[in-house]
Amino acid sequence: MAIKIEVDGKNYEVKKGKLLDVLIDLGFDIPHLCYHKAIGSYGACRLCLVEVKENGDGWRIVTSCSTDVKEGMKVRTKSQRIWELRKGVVELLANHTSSEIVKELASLYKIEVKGDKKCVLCGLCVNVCNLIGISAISFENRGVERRVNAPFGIPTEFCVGCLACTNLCPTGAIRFENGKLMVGDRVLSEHKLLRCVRCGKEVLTERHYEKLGVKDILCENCKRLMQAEKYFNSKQL
Amino acid sequence: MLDKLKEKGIDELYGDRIAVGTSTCGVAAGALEVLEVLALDDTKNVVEVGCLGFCSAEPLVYVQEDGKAALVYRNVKKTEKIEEAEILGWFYPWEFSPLKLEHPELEGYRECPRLIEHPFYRKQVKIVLRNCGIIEPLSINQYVAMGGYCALQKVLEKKPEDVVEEVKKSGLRGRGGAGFPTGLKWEIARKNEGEKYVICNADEGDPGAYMDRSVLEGDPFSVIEGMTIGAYAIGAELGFVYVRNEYPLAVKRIEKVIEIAKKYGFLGKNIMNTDFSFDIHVVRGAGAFVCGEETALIASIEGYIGEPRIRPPYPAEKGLWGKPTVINNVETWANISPIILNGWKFFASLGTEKSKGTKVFSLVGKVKNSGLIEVPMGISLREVVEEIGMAENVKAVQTGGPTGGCVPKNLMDVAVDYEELTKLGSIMGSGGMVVLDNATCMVDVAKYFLEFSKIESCGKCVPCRLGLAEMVDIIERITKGEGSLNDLEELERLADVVANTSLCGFGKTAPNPLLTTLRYFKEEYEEHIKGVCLAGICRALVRYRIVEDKCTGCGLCKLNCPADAIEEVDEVYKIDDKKCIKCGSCFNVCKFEAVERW
Repeated sequence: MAIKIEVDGKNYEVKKGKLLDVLIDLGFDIPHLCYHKAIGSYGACRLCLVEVKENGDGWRIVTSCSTDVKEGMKVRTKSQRIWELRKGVVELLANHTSSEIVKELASLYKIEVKGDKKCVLCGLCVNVCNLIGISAISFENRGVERRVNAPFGIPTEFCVGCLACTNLCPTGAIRFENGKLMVGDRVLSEHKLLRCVRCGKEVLTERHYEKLGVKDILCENCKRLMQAEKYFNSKQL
Repeated sequence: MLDKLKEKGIDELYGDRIAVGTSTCGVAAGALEVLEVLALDDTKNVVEVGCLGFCSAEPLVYVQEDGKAALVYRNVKKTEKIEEAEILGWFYPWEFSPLKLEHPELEGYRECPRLIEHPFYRKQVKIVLRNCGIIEPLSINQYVAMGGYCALQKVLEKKPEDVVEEVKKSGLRGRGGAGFPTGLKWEIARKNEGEKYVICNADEGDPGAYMDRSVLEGDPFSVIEGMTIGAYAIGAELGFVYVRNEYPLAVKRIEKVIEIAKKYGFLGKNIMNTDFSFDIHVVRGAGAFVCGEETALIASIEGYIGEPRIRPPYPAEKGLWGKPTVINNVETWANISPIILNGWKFFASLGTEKSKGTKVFSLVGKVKNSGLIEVPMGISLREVVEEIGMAENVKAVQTGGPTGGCVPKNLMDVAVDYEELTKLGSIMGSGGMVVLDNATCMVDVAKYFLEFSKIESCGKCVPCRLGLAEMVDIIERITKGEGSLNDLEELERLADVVANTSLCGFGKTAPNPLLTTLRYFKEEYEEHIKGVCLAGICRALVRYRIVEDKCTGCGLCKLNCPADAIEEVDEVYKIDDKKCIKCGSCFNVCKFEAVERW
């Protein structure tokens, strides 16, 4: 059933769900780093702030990633207050981190980027790892010391090398290089890479191969070629 | 069964006994040594009790003999006979409790004052602390004799929804800090279906605050009785006490009373021979401050890192393992059975329009009488600080723990009430009350609390993690005399961002010490920017010198200097600025005011 909401003075009919998803679908530009539809709300980056008004209450500042849309809800995405607060959060990120996405956000608010680290601690890597049932990496330490690491700082063998983390990372802080999963200079996990039996290209990690339980190791390209060969051979018959 | 226990308890409570307060505060003051000496006399019945609240008078010992009331001795030393110690006053063991209790008549003392007339006790109204210091904490007989488990018995004959209604009408609000109406929380959880839990939040971590510890150590049964009533009301069969491991005595006591309560059928299967079953587990916290935040506490019980989660959904809807969970703190739970026994009207008659009942505070800092006090809501801060605490030269009162604010002396007439304190920029918090006198530097106070919050921030959300760190950097600069007026604006802006965008209540309130000191003591910040710390606390801004004319050459300063920075030159002493660490020891010890701070 359609839900009627008002965003920045205009009326819309939307489906139920998280306000952030709804706003993005409607074409609003709401910055966010820690939210992913498949993972759900985590509430760490505090960038998707909007003002919301329900029933007779006054305007409240909420993170849209954690707010469900409700009938009659009024939303402000571009108010002065939101701009101030969001700028404040971006500034904190720009003072301590530097990545393409942070640079982009900072330029919107005309802020100089002074940080050097890439990781913004959005938690997507840790959360996706947890969600798919591997839980190989997590956060360590508190406050400004907080960082992503393998348990006890020792490269973990629980990581299968599926690379869901590197795919979701918004800043490129977590990366896979030469068989090593890394954040900054910390090695989270080490892997033996297996090659495509046809062309010899490195395809996947040994632990991922065992986990998947597939027969032959083939790269994407070779799989396609083999399928094509099969098709042509069958036509000739 | 209650009658039998009560009978035994009355005999124990009002018979001859010498009671020593051996809660952590008493132990720190030397109560165990006193106990050891007293116990040498086999003819006496020497018992251990919890804390009577008056910490600056510890070790406290009271004597009940020959059908007379209890005579309290203060600051008892192990080397002296008890009769030689100073008398604090006398009291009837039942007189602090708001409950109607059966007791034999005891004779009072004419020659010395009553305890309830002592300035420290005169304005107190005890509900939560009714049994603390009176009963032996592990004695179920004595707990029952003081009205214990009568409330549970009464509740088990009622409908659960009526119990919720009673608590709702009483106007009790969560004593952990936020002040959410307890009855409403219970009602929400009650309406949700399925498996449910109750949790007691005993992760008290505010510096200088120890209300919950004292209740767990002095009257642990009242907490588990409250939880059992709560569980019955919402329909839970399992509860958890989350207590920090730094409270070893509290952990021990709560574990022990759970065992005892099970043995007597007040906990476990078929409680008091009814269909209702309820069990409690103790979970020990590893000491992260933020685990006192309810969602972080729940995460910690589940075995995850103790970090706050997004609310809503609130725990009463989806809490522990996603099930409806009522989480209240120790003090809230301890309020439950008196509300049930005396009725909601009794509780609602105390306090202000929106804040009912009493509140326990730990009154510490620059006060003559320090300790745990329980006062009706609505009492003025001035009465608490000046009449109960007998503080002099007060500059401000810091309420609400490290994320609370400083209320200046001229606003101390404010009523102690959730809304009133919030209006002044402070919070009720869980009940820390630190009195600051004129020798205090308010910028240093703000720096201390901000540093505390920076270290204890879990680091999950950006503003709390990075914003607090930047605020600490700026305020450190100011205390070194390197700040500018722009820094004050920047501090206010950062505080606004942190307070309004942080994920949990901790980050939202963490800027309070800064905001209130900036609001009420802005001139001190401006002085620091000019390079002056009038209180002489900020080391980078003070220097010490010895005035030759006043120096008698006694050498006391040199003797006390930890940095070896004072030397004798021609029978007077001089401070070597290069070696001086500006600790102020010389300034404090000089009997001739020859050391100057400038």
